[in-house]
Amino acid sequence: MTENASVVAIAEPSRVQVSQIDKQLKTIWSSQEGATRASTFNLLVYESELQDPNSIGEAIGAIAVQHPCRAIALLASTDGPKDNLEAYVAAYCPVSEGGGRESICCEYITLRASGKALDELDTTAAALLLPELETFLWWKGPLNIHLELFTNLQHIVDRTVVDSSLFEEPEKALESYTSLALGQEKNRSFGDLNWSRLTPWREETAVAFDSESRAACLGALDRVIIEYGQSEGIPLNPCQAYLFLGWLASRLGWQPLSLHNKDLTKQIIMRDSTQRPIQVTVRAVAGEAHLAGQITSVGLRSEEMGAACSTVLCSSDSSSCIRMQMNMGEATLSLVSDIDTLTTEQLLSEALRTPDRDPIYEESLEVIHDLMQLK
Amino acid sequence: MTASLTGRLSANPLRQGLRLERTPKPAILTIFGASGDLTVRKLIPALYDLARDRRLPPEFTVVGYARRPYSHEEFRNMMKEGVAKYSRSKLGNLWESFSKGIYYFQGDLDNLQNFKDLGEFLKTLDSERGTLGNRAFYMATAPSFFAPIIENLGAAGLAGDVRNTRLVIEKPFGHDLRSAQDLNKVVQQVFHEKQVYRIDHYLGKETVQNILVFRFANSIWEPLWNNRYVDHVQITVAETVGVENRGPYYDEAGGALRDMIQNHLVQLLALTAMEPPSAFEADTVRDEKVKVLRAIQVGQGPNGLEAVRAQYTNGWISGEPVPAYRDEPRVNPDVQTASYIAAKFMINNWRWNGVPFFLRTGKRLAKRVSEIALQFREVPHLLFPSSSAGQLNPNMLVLRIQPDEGISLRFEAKRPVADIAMRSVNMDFHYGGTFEVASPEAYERLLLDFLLGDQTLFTRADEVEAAWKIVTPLIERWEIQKAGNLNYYDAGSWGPSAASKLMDNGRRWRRL
Repeated sequence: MTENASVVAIAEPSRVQVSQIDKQLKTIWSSQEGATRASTFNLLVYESELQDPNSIGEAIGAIAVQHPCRAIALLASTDGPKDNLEAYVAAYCPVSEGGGRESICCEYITLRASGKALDELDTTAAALLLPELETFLWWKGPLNIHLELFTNLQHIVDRTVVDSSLFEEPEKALESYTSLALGQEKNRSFGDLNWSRLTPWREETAVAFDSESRAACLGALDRVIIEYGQSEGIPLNPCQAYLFLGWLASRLGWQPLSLHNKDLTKQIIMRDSTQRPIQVTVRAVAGEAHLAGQITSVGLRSEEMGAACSTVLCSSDSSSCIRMQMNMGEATLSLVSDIDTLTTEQLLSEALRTPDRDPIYEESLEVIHDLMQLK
Repeated sequence: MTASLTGRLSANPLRQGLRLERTPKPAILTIFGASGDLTVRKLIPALYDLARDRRLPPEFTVVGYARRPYSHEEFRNMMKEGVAKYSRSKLGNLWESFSKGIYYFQGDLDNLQNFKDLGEFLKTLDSERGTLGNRAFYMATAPSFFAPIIENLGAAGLAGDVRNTRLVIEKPFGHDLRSAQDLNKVVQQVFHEKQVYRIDHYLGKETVQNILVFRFANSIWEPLWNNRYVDHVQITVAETVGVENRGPYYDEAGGALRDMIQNHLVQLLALTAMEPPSAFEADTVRDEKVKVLRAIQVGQGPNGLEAVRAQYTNGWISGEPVPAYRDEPRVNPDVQTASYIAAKFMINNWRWNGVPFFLRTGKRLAKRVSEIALQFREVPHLLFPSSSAGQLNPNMLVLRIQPDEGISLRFEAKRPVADIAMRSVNMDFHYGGTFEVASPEAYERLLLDFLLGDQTLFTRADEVEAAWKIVTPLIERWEIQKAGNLNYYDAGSWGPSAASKLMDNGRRWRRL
């Protein structure tokens, strides 16, 4: 049996006829004394060109530790026969601290398809969803909103989770994505793992302006510099930096006015509600591969007379800590914070907590959407 | 510059949508008794964990106050060891900046001049650290120092006001009703009640707070939560540890009755039995707790027995021999202190009239477990053939506080055979398994609430006095009877057999 630190497979993935999936799952559960079949939602996972059905199973198993669910992996096969569809079923149980198996377990189904069978995979998936439960879609990999399967799946899911750090042609994809996410019906929502990665940066920035004296600086900020990592051989991806800027601007009521690209730097002018200009620089800086696309520093300053305050947040080399320095006139306060580097599964788990729309995220996307129109 | 210490719903727009929308104001926390165990094992690790979760402002400052001659650096190093050993999160990069906000002040607790000097030191720190005159004082000392510290804070002009100064008082708050009333008078001469936070760390436990959510956020329980459906309630707080090195303190504190029943178990009883408050706010919640506490009185079991007290003898726990109470280090071999109490209480109000609440707690018991169990009445008419024991198992709702935190409901189900045959099954909710996140330590929650100015989880003056009133009859009786009624139980057992005599009408203590 497959085992890792957090889950144990009570049945290895076994290939079955699509029509026999439910029957096979019943067979698995009936053979497992003491294992309780539980589901809090349906989770669809799309991945292209996956080599080994077991690897996605382990990812789903890790999610099952926190959320018992029915998971359906949708794998786009590039090397199989044309218009082919294969199905596998398995079940996972979380492992308790003492090494014993927890009694609440979840199940997953793998659908591996190619050609026309892939385009129509939404209908097969729809028939396998547990009724009256929310359905999440984790689009694992580059996003193509024009892909037929992606479009069709939107009709059966409540929330779609993407990872903008994996976007190919990031700015173009981000523009399409913001249009799609902001144009959704009220009962559908979008999430982005890259937004979850920003949480410590958002929290640390908020900490810098909590006290009343420093909160006054927020209204006087006129210079923002956001740097993100780039590494040789890895495509440039400024999505996280844009998400941070979108968040900051939406919280402070800034609107983008202009955007100019120069080499690896974007010069942006924004205006606040009083028409005061704010100069923003978003630039890529060379760094190690694991920091590619990740924010490495944020500088917030005011050069207005009488508002001598500035805040600089820098990640350390390890990306596991943020160093904050605040200057208020002559006084300086510095703080080093630790940050847990979250795995993809942990980020996803966070994104699966609720299908509800996140107004803060959507307001951030609105700024990015407006910004992308200025290119 | 004076600023309110009250935590605020943030005026900081960047806080919107973040998990913590409220943060404490910059402040200096002065800990009296800073060289003691509580500071090293609980307080500083909890503050470090809060800082790591970005729940404290960067200006937050700690001053340790004690008699021993430490430098700031020596004190920081002691605290660093405590954080490394007891913190929920590992010692990391944050320590560098966190420790810069830790200072030490050498002083006596009964020396007014030392308090005046402390005041000057705090003013200096205000300008260095940007703490704006906000003060918090934490009394982590032996109870005998509480009154002198409070009086000296007042005399040195450090008591401030509701907006900028707060005081935490550790348990025990008094050793009987009279001493609690006296201490309340001292407190109230110097501080306003809104500044005072009497701590009972049990209330900081997530699962204890969940009692309120379970009761008042679900509509299905309320119709059953009364004397029409509940037969009786058992509240158990069992420990496997003995008094160990706390013997003299435990003897002085008065054993299990004062150390556990009067505070932890009575708090659990109040949360279980209180009426729904009109809002989840400090005073509305505490008003309801006080109301129910005032309705509680010691009940009588068969033969007029009200309570059982006992002391452990030697025995075995987890395959290891353990000594008798009187053989523990620094314990007087003739001491009559009870390490176990079982008692019956009744609540004289419409909801609970006639429903006994059985409370038991002890050291060196068979298992470490804390729970509240509500046993429901039997069905009014037995429709199905009874079990071999002659009756159905009653339904049981159990709120498990620790370990294996959660809730379970026992009910009867038909076995899949041709005849009508039943079996009890448990429906379990596991707190840890459902919310796979590490619960914060009780002290984290309480320190944060204290810094935010939320008194909901702290006991009010009238509440602590009402809790003492409940146990006063037992204290008085046992002080008169002295050794006459002390029972004994083997370490590793479930307590003295005499405890079962408290039960009537076929009731029995749960086997846990």
